[in-house]
Amino acid sequence: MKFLSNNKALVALAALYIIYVLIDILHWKQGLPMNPQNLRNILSQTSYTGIIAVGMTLVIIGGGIDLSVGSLMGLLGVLSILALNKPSGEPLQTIAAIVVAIGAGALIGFANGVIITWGKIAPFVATLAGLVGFRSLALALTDARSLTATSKEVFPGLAQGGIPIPGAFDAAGRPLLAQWPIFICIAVAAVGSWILNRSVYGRRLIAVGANETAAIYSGIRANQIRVISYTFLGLCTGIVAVLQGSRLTGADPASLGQNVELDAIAAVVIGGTSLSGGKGQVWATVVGVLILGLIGNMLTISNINNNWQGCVKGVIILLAVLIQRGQKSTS
Amino acid sequence: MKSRNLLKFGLIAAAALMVFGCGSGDASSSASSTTPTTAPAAEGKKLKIGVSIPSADHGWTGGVKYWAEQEMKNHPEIEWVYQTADNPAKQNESLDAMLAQKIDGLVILAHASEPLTPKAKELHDAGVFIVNVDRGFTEPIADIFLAGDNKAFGRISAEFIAKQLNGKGNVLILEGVACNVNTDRVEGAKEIWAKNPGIKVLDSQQADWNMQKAFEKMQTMLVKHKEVNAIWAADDDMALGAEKALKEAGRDKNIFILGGAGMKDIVKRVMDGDPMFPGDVTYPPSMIAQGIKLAVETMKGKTKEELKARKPTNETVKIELIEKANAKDFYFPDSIY
Amino acid sequence: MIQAIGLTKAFGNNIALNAFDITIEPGEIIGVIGENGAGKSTFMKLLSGVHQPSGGSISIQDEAQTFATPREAIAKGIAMVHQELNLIPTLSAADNIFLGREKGSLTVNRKDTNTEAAELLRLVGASFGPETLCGDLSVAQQQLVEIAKAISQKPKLIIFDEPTAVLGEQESLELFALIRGLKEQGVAVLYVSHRLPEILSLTDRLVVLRDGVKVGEYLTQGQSESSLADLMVGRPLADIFPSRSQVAPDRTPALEVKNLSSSPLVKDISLTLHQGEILGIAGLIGSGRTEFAEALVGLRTATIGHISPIKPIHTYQEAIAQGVVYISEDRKGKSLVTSMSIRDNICLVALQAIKSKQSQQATTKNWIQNLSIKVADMELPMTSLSGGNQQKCAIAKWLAVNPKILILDEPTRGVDVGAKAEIYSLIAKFAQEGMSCIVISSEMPEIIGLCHRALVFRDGRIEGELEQNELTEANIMRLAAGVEAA
Repeated sequence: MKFLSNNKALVALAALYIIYVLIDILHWKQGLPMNPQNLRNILSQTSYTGIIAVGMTLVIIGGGIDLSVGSLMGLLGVLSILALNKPSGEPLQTIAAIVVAIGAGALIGFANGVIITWGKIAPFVATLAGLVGFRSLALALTDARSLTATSKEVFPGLAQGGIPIPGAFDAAGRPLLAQWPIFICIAVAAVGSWILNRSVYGRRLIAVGANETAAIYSGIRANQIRVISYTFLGLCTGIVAVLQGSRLTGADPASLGQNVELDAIAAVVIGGTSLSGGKGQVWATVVGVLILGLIGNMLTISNINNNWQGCVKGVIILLAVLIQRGQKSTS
Repeated sequence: MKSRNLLKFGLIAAAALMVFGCGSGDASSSASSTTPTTAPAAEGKKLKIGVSIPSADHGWTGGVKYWAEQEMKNHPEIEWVYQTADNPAKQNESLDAMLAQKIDGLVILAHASEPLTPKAKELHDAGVFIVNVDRGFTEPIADIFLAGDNKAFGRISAEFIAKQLNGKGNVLILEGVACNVNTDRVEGAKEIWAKNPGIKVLDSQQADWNMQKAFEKMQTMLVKHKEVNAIWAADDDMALGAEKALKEAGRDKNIFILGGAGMKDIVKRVMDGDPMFPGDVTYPPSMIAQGIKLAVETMKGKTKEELKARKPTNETVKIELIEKANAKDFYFPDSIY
Repeated sequence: MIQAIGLTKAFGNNIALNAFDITIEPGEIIGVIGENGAGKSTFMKLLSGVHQPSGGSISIQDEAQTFATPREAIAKGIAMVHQELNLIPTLSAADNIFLGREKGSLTVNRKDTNTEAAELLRLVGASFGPETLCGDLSVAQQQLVEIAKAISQKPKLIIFDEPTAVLGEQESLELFALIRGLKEQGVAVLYVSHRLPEILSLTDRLVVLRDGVKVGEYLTQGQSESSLADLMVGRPLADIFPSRSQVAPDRTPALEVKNLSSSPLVKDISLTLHQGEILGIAGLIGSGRTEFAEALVGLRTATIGHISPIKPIHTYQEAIAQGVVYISEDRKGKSLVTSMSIRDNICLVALQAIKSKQSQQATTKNWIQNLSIKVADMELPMTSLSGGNQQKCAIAKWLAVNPKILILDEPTRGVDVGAKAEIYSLIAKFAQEGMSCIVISSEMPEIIGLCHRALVFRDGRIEGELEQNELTEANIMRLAAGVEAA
């Protein structure tokens, strides 16, 4: 019982899934909630947002927020494909794409952190500037043109390859793959969870987010702690930019990563992390991402009019957050 | 206190200069502030024409920007006032600015019809000659209207699908962002579906003109629908996303996609006879160049009075079906879209 | 040996500490006393690296030190137990104790952390385990964690800022034993407290501060409570407080409340306030006094059994309409809009009645004269005034709506002695004119010198009632701490 009351996000996910199964049995009768390909699709689709949401969880626990990740992803995707398309031969090209996206991501995340802490600009404002600026930079670098990846072998494998799921096959009879991004997301979440719960840095991040003054009085370099959280998020964004580039074999500066920041923040909140900082769990955010993914999947499969789907999604998000609120007052 | 405020003001002013300075540098030839007022062309002064288009926020608008800039370069005799805008409100503001700069003519591709009609009317009443491209205003204020026809877009692509399938088959639909353009295209297609009872539209999902969204929505739809013969997408970006989903699911046999807007990558594949893309529909971003050309040709050498007396004209950009046979006429390897 | 010479700190024009000298030897317990705003906390914050001095120097073993951050002071062996608790509620007691100095370089060594924390907690007499979340601890338990945290730094000097304010009798006694133990180990202790009996029994020497200046250093032996009080205030207490008016013999009730409760801090309060009376409410921090006042005027949800002669109050607007007003203890946060002008602040509540600029200026001028507020220009922001004058403005703002019942929460917090006396005589004057006042105060001299009668709160209940002739510090403390009379 205690486990359930401490893990309401998981309860919400389970409830949603049961509702999905029931609707399917009673109404749709297509077996999609149990269909391995559909479940695999949900996992692979959510893994991208999931990686960013893990980084966002740390930033928010540290008392910050980052609205710029979606635009940053667009910019990093563009930079990474530009690096990839330099004809240096494989696997050098792919390595260049990875290094550029992750390196530039970490660097820009670091810069975000510095502007917020030492520059004393509220995170909302500083990253709002990034939201506008990074997208524009991505468009300017490409003249708003979509870039296509020229590497046709190694690079696409990053996101399109994976491990065969035993006993599951696609329509062409090929084994169904659990793609690498799913495992990368799990790995990033494990790292994030370790940072938060086990590392010295994690203790300090929670302290800074909960009560910055108290943290400083305890001898913690609060600015440094927060800069690291933004850097980590930038790095996560870089990873996702490369993976999306690989998955779509190219990058569209206009649409790549659009609104990812909203999904990531929503997932963090659904997972019960406090927007005022100092409290939260990485794994709960991952559950939050899965909840969002499941909602999206249900809505696509339902025959709800496209224009109404946003309303339904909004209401379900509110309900999920209300469940979290209930958790707080009972503890 | 005072000196600090002055400092703040200075900073803001400097920032504003930077921003707007860069903005005008973007134009092929920007307006000079010393131009005398009212400059009827007949008196030998340079004609001043405004060009207002949406910002290049995706492939097609990127194409519009490209074609507009190309065409302006072809007419150095005109003084161009060139502005791009993120949204209808911004576009309204840029029209205000153009009015203040006393333009003689305006070529506009509006973000949306309704919110821009009153402002365009204001310019028209102030004697500005208006060439309206693609989306029409809600009142007949354009002197030349070069209409894009999104309904025809939808009809032509749906007809092609019906023909390819011999009037029988299952279709999935990917829609763009909910807006007039999308609605017109989808409605146009619906007219054709209605005429072909053998065509079954299994599902229709919104993918926001976005390749990644199209990919994910198509993944989900493909799990749900086992028998699909064709995909109708409201533009080429989403068509590419759909193709990736088909390949990933191993469902890329015996199926084809029809997008639209004449993206060069797709046109090339039509030309090469790719079974996934047997055809495409044009919706050329170059229509803006056509509009600019019309404005220059019509206005040159005419007085304000003559232009006023001229009867408004309507033209329609021809929406054409691209097939393997004619694809080479629509393939521009140097175009950015 | 830790030494400060000529230590000075100015905040803008306000000199909080002026040329302060002190020498602290190992194994010494030094009491630091002084009224609120005397400069005690400024001194401690300079020593612990929270603030940096504007002048003077700090040295340890004759080596000059500059502490840019608390981190550096901690590294040099200066630990501080803060009065306002500085714990992270979402972390465990053990994590809080070692915050900033975690066991392990990359990963927290949970085993070492918990074992050592358990040992430290045992040492300070805590009964809870190291893995308890600090958010689940009572205020007194949190204080123990703070103390354990300070000791864990193995400091040369520990500064205690009002450590017993939130502790019970037994916990306080254990703390004193602990401090004496530290002394035996050669640790120096600076002990800051308002509680003169504690200072007298615990310390070897004491330093008295008044208005940012050191009044003197004294051996504790031979001092008495009254001698210390006179040293702190600088003049006999009797001179500060005005003579008390007589409450009308018929004792007409101005307010009668029965069974007021507001979860979780206010439990079943009943009281009667008479016309022209000044009723004191004493009690420790966290005893529910402020919460009671807020519940009474409708700022907090409450259940009230009976209220008369006024009509029941559900919202603050209803209270104001009946002339019941509350002046918060939190001057900057809840009482005034410090960025707005003096005129705007004074006219804020009565804005409906005084709309035009002229009438606002007239009203403001009137109150400035009536309360003798020292104001250069009423259009300047509130921040241009000293604490005492700000407090008078906060009072003026509420007088502008002609209240019948005035509830003042810590009315002289952060106010200098001169302004204190003026505020006291204002309150006495209001009472004389028939207004009824409730004064909530942590300063016992204030309750004793000003009020006709006092209620002592403890844990959200009224622990006892004291008539004017029973008002002594000993009586108040006994009730506030909940100990039986000896």
